Amino acid sequence: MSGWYRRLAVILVLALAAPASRAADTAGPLATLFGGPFELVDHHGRVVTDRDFRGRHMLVYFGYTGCPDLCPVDLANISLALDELGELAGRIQPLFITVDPARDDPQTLRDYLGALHPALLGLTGSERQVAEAARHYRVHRSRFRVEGHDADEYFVDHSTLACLMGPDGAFVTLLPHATPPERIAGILRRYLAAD
Amino acid sequence: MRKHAERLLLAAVLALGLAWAGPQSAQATNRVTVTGEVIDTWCRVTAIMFAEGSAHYQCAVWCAIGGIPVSIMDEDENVYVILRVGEDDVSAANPTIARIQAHQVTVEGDLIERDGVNYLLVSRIADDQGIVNVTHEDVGIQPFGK
Repeated sequence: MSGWYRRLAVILVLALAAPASRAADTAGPLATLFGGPFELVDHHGRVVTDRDFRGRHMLVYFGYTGCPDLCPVDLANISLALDELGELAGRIQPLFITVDPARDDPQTLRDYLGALHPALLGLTGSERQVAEAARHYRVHRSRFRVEGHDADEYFVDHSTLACLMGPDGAFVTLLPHATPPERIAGILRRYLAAD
Repeated sequence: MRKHAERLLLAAVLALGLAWAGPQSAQATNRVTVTGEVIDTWCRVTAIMFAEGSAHYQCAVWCAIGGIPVSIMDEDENVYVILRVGEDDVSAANPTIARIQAHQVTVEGDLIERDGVNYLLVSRIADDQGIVNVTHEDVGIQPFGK
């Protein structure tokens, strides 16, 4: 191989290696705001960390099974988008991290998500573990009870931004509340094609 | 030799261009000043109800605390979703911004465009004129009426 071809080969290798890290490099301020390590329990009762999902995109959404309005809308939209993607959806792991670990145990999450989409994986954990994950994704949680209800009958205000993370775990983009399924699918398809 | 050097340069430019082009490359930040009304993004953008000014203030505060992103809509009806206020490192629904729902404000910050959405990292609320869009006398308190 001549020196010219060798140099060309080096350039191409460097260029093709760039996408793995470019999400973090070009995500600018957003990459420093959203994402980070977590250790939780999935809805099968297995301990999982963020590293277990490397190699696939993570679509991270925080909510709780008792949510009366926001979660049902966003989870339905995400589920429809995954259906629209077909086989491509296999490269995405949608994660539903509870903001209410006191009530959302693995079985509760499994029952709830099973009615929505088979790919959705519920994650719970101790209050400390969930608080740590929520902090990394800038998710606020605020429990409140409607007057006249029992102590365990409460609602939880929570953030509604879904985060798409890359196969390397780095931030990719946000999906605001109520983004329509076809738009979610379009955004996911573009980022999957870029990898 | 010179021809080889030119080819090498061209290959480098093409290869790097291919590698760096793509969805993520759209995320550049711009320092901006934005003036407009603080809005409840869900109620205003979907037009699910009348969601302007004082008539919708209470609902807008509830929505913000409840997790609906807060935005600023400027006079050209551009929407800027606020992701951070100041150095807050806790949430994207900062109580600071929830409290000034429906206010007419001028903010300074970094604008990030991502997938067709304008996101704003507010560094400073430069001006807060309070609620100047007084609508409740005409349309009542939304969505609950008087």
